[in-house]
Amino acid sequence: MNKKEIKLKIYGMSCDDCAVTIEKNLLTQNGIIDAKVSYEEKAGIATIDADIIKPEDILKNRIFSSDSKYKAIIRKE
Amino acid sequence: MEYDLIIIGWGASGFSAAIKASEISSGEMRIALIGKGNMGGTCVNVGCVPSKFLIEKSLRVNDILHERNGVSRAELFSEVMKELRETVYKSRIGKYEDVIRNYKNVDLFNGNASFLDSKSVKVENGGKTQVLKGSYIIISTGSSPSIPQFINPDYVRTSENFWNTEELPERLAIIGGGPIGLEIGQAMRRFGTEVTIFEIADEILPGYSKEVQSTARNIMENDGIKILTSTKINRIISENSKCIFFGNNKECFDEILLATGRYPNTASLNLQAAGVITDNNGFILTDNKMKTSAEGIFAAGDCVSGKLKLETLSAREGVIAVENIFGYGNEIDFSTIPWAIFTVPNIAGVGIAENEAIQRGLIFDRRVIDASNAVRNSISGNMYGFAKLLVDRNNRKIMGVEVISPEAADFIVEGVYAIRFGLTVDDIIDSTHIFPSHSEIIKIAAQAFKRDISKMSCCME
Repeated sequence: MNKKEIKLKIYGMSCDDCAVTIEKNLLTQNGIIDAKVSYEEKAGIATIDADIIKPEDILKNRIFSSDSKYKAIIRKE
Repeated sequence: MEYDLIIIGWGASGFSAAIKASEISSGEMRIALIGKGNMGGTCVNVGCVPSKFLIEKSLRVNDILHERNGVSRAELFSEVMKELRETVYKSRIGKYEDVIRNYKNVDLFNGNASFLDSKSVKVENGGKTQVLKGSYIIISTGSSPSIPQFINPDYVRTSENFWNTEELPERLAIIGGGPIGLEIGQAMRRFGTEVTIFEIADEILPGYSKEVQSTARNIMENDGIKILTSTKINRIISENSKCIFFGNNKECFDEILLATGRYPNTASLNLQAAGVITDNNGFILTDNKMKTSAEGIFAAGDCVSGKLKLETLSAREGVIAVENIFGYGNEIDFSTIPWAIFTVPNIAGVGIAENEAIQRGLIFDRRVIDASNAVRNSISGNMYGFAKLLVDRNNRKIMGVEVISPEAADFIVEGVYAIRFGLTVDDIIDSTHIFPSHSEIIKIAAQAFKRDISKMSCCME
C-alpha cells in the first residue's frame, strides 16, 4: 500500500453535519482509506492508497459532483 | 497573505475565472485578483467595445449629417470619439469594477506581478511590495500591440490609443491588413477619411481562406479603400505629416494606425522562477485543460500560445482553468469557438478551416455558394459574400463553416451548434430558416450538397 495524505479545501459546508456527510461519502470511494473533514476549518484530509487512486480522483467523488453544493480543491503547498 | 487562488490579470479571462471560482465555491474561495491599468483588459477598454462603437456610429454618418444640417464630418467624428470614450468608461465601471466589488471573497491588488516561485507572487506598486501565496495560480495577463523596432512609437497609433484620436484624419494609413485594420479602416472610410492599408503578405487577412481574402479585398476596394499588398515598410518619418517609405515610394498621412500583431504580456512575470514554459514569442504553452508546465499553474486568454485571440475564447479559457482546479477534467474545444470580423458585411467562421482539413488528410466535401443565392442580399443591396460548408464525407456532419454576409457575426452560432452537437448537412436542410433572412445562406449552402441550387426556387425546402 502506498499511503498518502491529501489536504483538501472544502467549500459549501454550513454545519458540522455537512462535514460528517462529506466524510461518509469520501470513505465509500475505492482507494480512500481515511477521511477527516472540519466544518470550522473548511478543510479536510483524505488518506489514499496512491496505488489505487490519484489525488485528483478525490474530486470526482459524488459528494463534489456538479449537482452537489459541496466543492473541493486539493491544497497545493 | 495566503489565497486559494491567485489570478494575475484582470481582463476577460481573469474576470471570468474569478467569477466562476466564486460561483463554484459558493463565494468561499479566497481569491487574489492582481492587475494593472484599467480593469477589464483589452476587450472593454481598447478592443471590442470601442471598435464596435465606432463601427456602429460610422454606419449612420450620412443619416446623421442629413438630420443635423450644418454639422461637418470632422465635428461629428470628434463627438463620436468623445461619446466612445464615455461608453468605454461606463462599460468598464458597470461591467467590471462594480461587478467585482460585489464579490467579497475577491481581494484586488493593483501593481506589477512577478513570480518568486511556483506558489508565490510578488506585487509591486510604487515603493510598496506585497507577497501573495496561492494554492493555485491563473496567468491571464493578455497581450499588447507589437511595434517593430524601426518604427518610432510617437509617429503611430495602435489599437491601444487610436481611441484618443480627436480630429478626423483626412488621410489614414493602416499598417496591417488583419481584422483590426479592416474594421477600423472601413469605419474611418465611412467618416470620409482616405484610407490606405499596407500589408506585407500577398493578401489581406493572412492566414484566412482564399475566398475570405479575395472577397474582403473586393469589399474594401468597393468602399474606396486603397490596399497595398506585398508591401514592406522601410521607414516612417514625421515632418508636417507622417510619411511612410516603401519600395521607391513615399506617401504621407495625417495618422498612421499600426495593426501588425500582438505580443504576450509575460516578459515581466519571471515565469522561469515558477517553471512556466513559453513558446519562442513568449506566449505560454498549455494543454487543452489550460494547465501550464508548472504544477498548479494555469493560463488563459491572449497570453496563451494559440491561433485565436478572442474575448469569448479568453473568457471560456478562464472558466476551463477554474473548472479543472476543481477537478472537472474539462477541455477547451477549439472546434466550436466562432470568430468574426465586424466589417460590413461581417466575416465569420467556426470549425476547421479548409487548408487545415487538407493538411490533416481529412476526407471531406465542400460547397461554396455566392451571397446572391440568398434573396435577402439582393433586397438589402449587399453585393458581396458567400457561405462555405465543409462536411465529413463519411457521416455528413458539419466540420467547418465560413460566411461573409450581413449579420454573419450573429448567425454563425448556427455553425457552433451544428459542430458542437454533431449535426449533419441534412439536419441543417431539415431545419426551417426564415425567408428572407441572411441566415438562410447557411441552409442554401447545405442544400447545395443535394441539388443544383441554380434550379431551385427561393423558398425550396
